[in-house]
Amino acid sequence: MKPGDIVPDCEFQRPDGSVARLSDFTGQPLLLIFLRHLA
Amino acid sequence: MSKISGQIEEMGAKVLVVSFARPDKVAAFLEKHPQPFPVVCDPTLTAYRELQMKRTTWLTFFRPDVTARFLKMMVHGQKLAKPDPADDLLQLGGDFALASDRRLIYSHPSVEATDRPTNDDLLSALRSANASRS
Repeated sequence: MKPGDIVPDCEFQRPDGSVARLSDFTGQPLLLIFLRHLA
Repeated sequence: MSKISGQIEEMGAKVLVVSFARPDKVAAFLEKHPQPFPVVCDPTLTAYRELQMKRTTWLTFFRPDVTARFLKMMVHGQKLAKPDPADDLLQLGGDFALASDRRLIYSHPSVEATDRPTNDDLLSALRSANASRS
């Protein structure tokens, strides 16, 4: 993906196991941080 | 990151942290180490792949400059927790800024394990994302 592209509405799991979608967190600018591992 | 959480909030922006760990592992981690931002899980790495984050190699992981940066992080007080045996130590992360319509404004997939943008880079990216909504 390159700047200007629309990021797909990816599906995630919340820590309680429920489903979350990227669009649940957008509607304002969003900093999306992907971790290497929990630390 | 917590150092700039106030500035991020002032901009009207949000932060979402994604881990490839399983939800139960993330829940256990958050119980011990509460975070100021929401954390979600992508154990299938679907979003990691969508945003083109790669795996590093052991050769790169132990490259002298990468090892030196790990040591510098430790000297500056950053704790390097023992990874879970199930963790893929070679999977890299990344940082991205999205406009309110999910348009990608800034993309920084890590090229090695210690490669992260500076806080100034992230704030600048969010300013651009903020400007793009007007």
